[in-house]
Amino acid sequence: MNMRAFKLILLLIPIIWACEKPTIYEVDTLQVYSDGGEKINRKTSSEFISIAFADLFGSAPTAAELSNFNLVYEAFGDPEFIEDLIVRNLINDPRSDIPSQSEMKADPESFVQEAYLSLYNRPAQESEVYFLREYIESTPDLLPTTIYYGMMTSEEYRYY
Amino acid sequence: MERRKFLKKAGLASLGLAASPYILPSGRLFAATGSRMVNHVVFCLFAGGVRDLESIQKAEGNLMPHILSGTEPISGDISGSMDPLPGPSGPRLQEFGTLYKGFKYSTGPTGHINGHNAVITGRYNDTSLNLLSRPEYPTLFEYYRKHYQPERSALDAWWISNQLGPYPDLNYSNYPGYGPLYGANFLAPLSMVSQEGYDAVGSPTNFDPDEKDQINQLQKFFNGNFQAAGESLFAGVPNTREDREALDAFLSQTYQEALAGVYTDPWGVGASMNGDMYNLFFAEKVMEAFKPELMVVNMFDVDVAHQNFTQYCNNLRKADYALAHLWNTIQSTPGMANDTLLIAVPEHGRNLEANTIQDANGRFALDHTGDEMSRSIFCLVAGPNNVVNQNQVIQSTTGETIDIVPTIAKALGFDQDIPGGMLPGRFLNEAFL
Repeated sequence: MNMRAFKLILLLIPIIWACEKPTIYEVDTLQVYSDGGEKINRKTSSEFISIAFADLFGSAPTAAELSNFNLVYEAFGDPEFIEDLIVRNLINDPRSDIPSQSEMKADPESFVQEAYLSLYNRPAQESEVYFLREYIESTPDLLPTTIYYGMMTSEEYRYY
Repeated sequence: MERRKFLKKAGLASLGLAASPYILPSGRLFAATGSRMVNHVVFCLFAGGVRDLESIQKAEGNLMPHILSGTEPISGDISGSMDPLPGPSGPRLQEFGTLYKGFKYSTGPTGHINGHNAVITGRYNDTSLNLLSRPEYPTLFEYYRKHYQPERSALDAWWISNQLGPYPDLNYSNYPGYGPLYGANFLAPLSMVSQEGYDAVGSPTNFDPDEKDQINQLQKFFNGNFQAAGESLFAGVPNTREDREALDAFLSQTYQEALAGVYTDPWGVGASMNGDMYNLFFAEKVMEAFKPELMVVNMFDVDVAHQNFTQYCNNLRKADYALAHLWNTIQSTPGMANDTLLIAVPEHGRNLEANTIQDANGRFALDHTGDEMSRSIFCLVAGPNNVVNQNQVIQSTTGETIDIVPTIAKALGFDQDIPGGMLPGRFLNEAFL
């Protein structure tokens, strides 16, 4: 190769380099959830009440409602008993956003996933979906409120 | 149920609110705790700060006619301001036991929580007492539930207070080896059975037996998939599932009765019913429902003495009436009648010197800042005539606040099981046969 050809190659390299389309690595937007096992902080009474209220009503309790909840927490010495009462009151409230029985029966898998995302803040695992779908389908008189109550009084719901 | 309707029907608007050995499931043999003198103790903190002068010394007349013998008339300048109450009929309460007239709250600040803490733990405290923390030493409830064998559930131990603030924390201590597992069920009836309490927990979903079975299955599944790793911040006193169902039924009935107007004037005294009386009324409801072996209940309304001497005297009469009512309910409750020790003691007294606040009758109000008069109190020990010395009055300086816990421990038969050195007080032997 003569010197002229060599210079031409040297001149073309950066031009070719500059014209090469850059490689861009992209990832899909992904919602990250905590696994159940990563929940290590027990909710305080105020956190428990506020989160339960928001999970069922889609909004925070008013100052007066929160004050009432805190009052009964103070007025009785077994907080888990009080939490149970509060959850049963919230579930009984017509404002609560719990799917109907027909909705649950029509699509158990979606019901389970929605309940897990709403209450446990994570998707249900395959085994959980399987168990609950089977349970819903094999228990004709099962009500959605029973499942919601079971989840909201479970150990996992007391933690975040 | 509308707010006003509940309040009206609840009637609370005006408030402003012998034992034998047994074998554990493990197969281990335990000797049951020592023999008992009675099977139930009701301890009433006649609290709020009661001065000897207006109580046992009757300086304003007999303001406690249901407890104390005597018909001394109430001082003329304040008698017209007293709310109407039924007079006593039959024997006075002091005739059913021993009255210590020279009882002492010997040391420590004469503050309400200091006094409550001292009498419930059996140990005096000082100005370092942390109002935001639980007692430093075990409470009476913890001694009872930890050391009595066979062990008792939380339904057998109750702390019923007409105040919130630091008072709910007196149901168990931070002492190592004791704590919430041995604590008492706490109830503040005036808060729980209120419009606010009803709004929060008064309308729960109730599950039928089939639904409860479903819930059990679901909870086993949910809990089986989760391993709790964190520290519990608010453990509280745990009740068993069965006990919680009993509590649920009790509370539900209480709200139903409130809605039905049963609590509007439960003792037939009209507008004279005050917070102390309601607190003891609900203590009676707990007593009738659960027949606890150990119940502590307090009164507090005499503390109006800081601003109004006449109302202090008026509320002292109401506390007297309420305590007698409690005694009568004990005697008409199957399982507790003639098998219950009733102890009543103020947490502290009030100053000899008045403050500068004058009421409508020209009387000056009273504080409690630690003088000798604010440490002088009384103690009444009433009970079955084969257990307690009847109609006895001890005039001399005898007994003190920290003697209550050892006395109750011996009466319920677990005194020998409490580790030595934990309780500096003594058994009030003068009151017993």
